[in-house]
Amino acid sequence: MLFKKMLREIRLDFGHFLSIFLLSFLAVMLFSGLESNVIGANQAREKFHEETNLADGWLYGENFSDEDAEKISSLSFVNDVQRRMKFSGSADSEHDNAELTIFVENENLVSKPYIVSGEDFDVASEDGIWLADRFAQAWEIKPGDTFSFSVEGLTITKEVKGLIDSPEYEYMMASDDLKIDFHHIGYIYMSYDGFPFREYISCMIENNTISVSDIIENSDSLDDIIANLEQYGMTKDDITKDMILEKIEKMSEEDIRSMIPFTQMIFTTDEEDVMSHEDEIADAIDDNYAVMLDSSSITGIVRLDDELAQHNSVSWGFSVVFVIIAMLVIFISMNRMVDNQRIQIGTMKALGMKKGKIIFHYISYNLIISLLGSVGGFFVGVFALGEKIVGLFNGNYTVPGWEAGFDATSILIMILVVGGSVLSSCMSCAKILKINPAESLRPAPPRSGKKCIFEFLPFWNKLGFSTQYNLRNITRSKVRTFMGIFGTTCGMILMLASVGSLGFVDELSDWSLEKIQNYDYQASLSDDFNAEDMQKISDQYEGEFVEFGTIEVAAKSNAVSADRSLQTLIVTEGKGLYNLTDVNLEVQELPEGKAALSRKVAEKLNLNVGDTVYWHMYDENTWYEAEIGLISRAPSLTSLTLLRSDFEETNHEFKPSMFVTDEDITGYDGEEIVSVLVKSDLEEAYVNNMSVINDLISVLLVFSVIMIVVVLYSSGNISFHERNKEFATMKVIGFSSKKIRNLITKENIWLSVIGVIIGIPFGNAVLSAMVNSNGENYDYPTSASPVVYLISAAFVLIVSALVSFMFSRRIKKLDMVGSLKGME
Amino acid sequence: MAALIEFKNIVKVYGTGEAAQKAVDDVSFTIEEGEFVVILGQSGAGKSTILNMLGGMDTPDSGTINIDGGLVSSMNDKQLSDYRAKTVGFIFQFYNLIPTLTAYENVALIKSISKDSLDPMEMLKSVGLESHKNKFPSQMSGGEQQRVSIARAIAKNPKIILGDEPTGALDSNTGVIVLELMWKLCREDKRTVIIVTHNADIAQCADKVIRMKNGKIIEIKQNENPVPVSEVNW
Ligand SMILES: Nc1ncnc2c1ncn2[C@@H]1O[C@H](COP(=O)(O)OP(=O)(O)OP(=O)(O)O)[C@@H](O)[C@H]1O
Ligand SMILES: [Mg+2]
Repeated sequence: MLFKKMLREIRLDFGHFLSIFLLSFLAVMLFSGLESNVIGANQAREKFHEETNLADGWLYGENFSDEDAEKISSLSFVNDVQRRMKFSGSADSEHDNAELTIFVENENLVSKPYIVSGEDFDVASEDGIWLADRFAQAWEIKPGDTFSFSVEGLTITKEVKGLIDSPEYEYMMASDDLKIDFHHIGYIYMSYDGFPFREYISCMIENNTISVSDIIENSDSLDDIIANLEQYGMTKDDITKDMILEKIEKMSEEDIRSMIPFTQMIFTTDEEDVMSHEDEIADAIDDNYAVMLDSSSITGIVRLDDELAQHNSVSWGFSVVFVIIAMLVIFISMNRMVDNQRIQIGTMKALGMKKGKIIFHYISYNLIISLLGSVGGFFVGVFALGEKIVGLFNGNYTVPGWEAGFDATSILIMILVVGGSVLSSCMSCAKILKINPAESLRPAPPRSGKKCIFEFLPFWNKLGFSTQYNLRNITRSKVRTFMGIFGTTCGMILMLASVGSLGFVDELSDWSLEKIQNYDYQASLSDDFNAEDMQKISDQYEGEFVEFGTIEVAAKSNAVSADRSLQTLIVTEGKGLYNLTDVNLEVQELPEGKAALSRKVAEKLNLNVGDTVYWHMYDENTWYEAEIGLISRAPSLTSLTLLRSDFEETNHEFKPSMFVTDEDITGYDGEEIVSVLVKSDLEEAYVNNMSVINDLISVLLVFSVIMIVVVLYSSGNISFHERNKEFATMKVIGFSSKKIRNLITKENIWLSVIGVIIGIPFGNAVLSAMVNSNGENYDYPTSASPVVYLISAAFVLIVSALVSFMFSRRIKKLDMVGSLKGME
Repeated sequence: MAALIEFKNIVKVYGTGEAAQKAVDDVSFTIEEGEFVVILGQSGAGKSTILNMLGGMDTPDSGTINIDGGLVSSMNDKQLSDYRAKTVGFIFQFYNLIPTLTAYENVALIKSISKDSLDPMEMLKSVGLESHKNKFPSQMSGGEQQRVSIARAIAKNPKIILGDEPTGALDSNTGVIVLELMWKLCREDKRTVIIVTHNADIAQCADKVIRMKNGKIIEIKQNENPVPVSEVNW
């Protein structure tokens, strides 16, 4: 019988149950859907890193010996160690001269490649290479194919034995590319035994890539030649290229190999913070290394870390807001629904029905509806929305087995939503059951005092009827008023968060492309660009040279690694083309003799304007100091910026990597300029860069809109449902439908506007919480532009007005006779 | 002079096809201005249906309703609400006060729909409730609520007062008070009062008694010497 009542009531109050269903559905779907990408990524990455035994520490040095590896290995916290060689190479022209990194290994314990297809990686294979799967896919290269690539001019051709994913290359983009294109970048793993060292060295000598003195300095293989020469009264300067080449021909394989150093040593540990062990590492190998890194400095890993962090903060921000809103709305509407059934509940109790049965009856509504919604939301969230979002990421990042996942939190949220709605009905039901049946058979009196506070206003009597009526109504039915305000508050929060995030992308573009990169053409300069070339270009074009370097900065000289921060060094000529912006995003000139330090680094190192910052080039050991003249800010690059004159005073040659100008330089003919980017290219690159997060936010915007409609519909529905009888009475008394509608509309406008205003600070808080939890390199502005507020407010108010219009339209058709029958 | 109210061949059908039921079946009657009319009949006879049509809350399926020179049966929504606002005051069995408004405010509500409305405080006084003016409906007894609802009905100074079992939810003493009030509205204020009731005793006070059964009128009796409510031995 009660089941029949339930079905009938669900049908009668379809709007109410629809909104409970939609709210549970949306909340759970968004949460599990948004989170499924991050959860799935974490699960897949953990497995990936585990299976491939991804390094925890990277040591770069001039030459690591076997003994060095053993010494590291004997440290208590180190698990596995291995050395490896790393070469930069390129594919042939048929493959667009793609950028390739070649790892040459004689053992493979750490950072092992993950085999996508083909044979397992074999460090003894002389004729094979293992090629990056993404690159191979792009070019349709299959295991068994032969593949040629060149290193320092030497062309090497091998059979592709397998296609691999490396955990160090979850992200990769060719340096000349504006957007990720796997045609242009890849890596190769190959055996030490398969690498043609002799040809490699010969080739380098022939091409003058290395000079005699380089060899003498770095190897003792020529010592006997020098000794010989000295007998004839000659010095090392008299050694000719041919003499060396001949010598190379004759050298034993072992000697040849010893000339090419192992420049990397990688190891794993179970310790959380590898960098804190740098002292022990340094002691073990007598400081014989250049730099030690952890995964936070490996671009291929950290870029995905950052993007996931960004995604995570955005999706957490949104899902938490969604879940809270849904729960609150469900809570209130359940409460209202049960309250409206007060007399029925009283009747059931008066008829002698057991409390438990009554409560169960009311709980069952919500249990069924919200369970249906939540379970549906969970599946749609993880398997539809989640997979979609993973798809956005999978295009750019490479993690095998990355698919939408879920974990205990998703289930917990489901339980929370279902439990919350059950609990809310349970509580309101119990509340009514507590009062005696006689009393519950009459409607509850409004709680407030005799007069509404507004009646004490001196001009109360001058207010129009509808104003008075609404003010009374607002002060006396607090829950309903709260609902009305709450709906638009939520709307405003969601709109500000999503439109605000989208707006950021535009603002950022304006910031980086208009203020910082204030030029129309950007030329990349060749690697061997020299002072002569510089003269040549500046003779023809008005522009500015910029150098980018890698440095470490610290608050004191010779700081230990833990206190250093890896940064980009930017050297500009201060001509106003490549600019600096201050913390307020305004363009500022860097005073001569001073340096600019990015805000986030300055905060981390606890430095301020006037303090001294210490830095050293990444591959050198000499520290320099500079006075901070400006705290700068850029959206996605933290740096120390120096003027050219000041940089040159440190006895460094100014080696620009970029020439920027407003003059059309695309026609320039010469080796000095490798490529030229036009502003529109930069803009395109920018858009591409932001595309994943942009798509994500667009998805969120769509769901926010749906959520806003559902929330406003729910609150409208509750309010209208509750006031049905009131409106019928007013109609009977002689109020015209139009007058009643005006009354409702007016009240709705008031509440909506109040809601929107209240929503602004909350929305801002959510927005800045999301934006601020980005990766270390990112530093986004945190206040939205007025346009964002206007758009958000306008949208929320329009939806609110439409919903109100929809409900108030029913006034005209309101069945007075039916509505007024009986007490209820 | 034409009658104030003329009901002519009114039919009201609920439902369609097999389930169709004539709630009111070809009913005609007239009521003169200033009359005190009682409609009697068993449950389901169609009394409320007729009263709702008189009150402009429901429309007949066929037939014409002429009230105070207006053809109520063919009025549009706007005209109907105007009619409800000016011509009739309705009193329900279950009072139907607006729960968020106090007694005074419920009556004062009328000010906003009719320019000729009477002073709400006076109205409350006339039903003896001036001391309850700040109470909310749920804080008053049924009889008190019903008196507020009468005050509200007369505040718009209507020609016609309709009551659908106005004493139905009240004990007999309270019911008498309410009835006396309505009687006075008729005799002293010269309003036309039409009451639907189950209580046949009231018939002796009426100028006209309409008896219904199964949607039809079975008798219309004109009472030559109606007994004032206060003199009836309940
Ligand atoms: N909305 C409706 N839908 C279907 N039938 C209805 C509806 N309203 C009334 N009826 C039917 O019309 C008939 C007349 O109803 P009405 O309410 O006029 O009776 P009544 O004489 O006022 O009875 P009571 O004294 O019990 O109030 C009844 O048989 C009832 O079942
Ligand atoms: Mg009836």
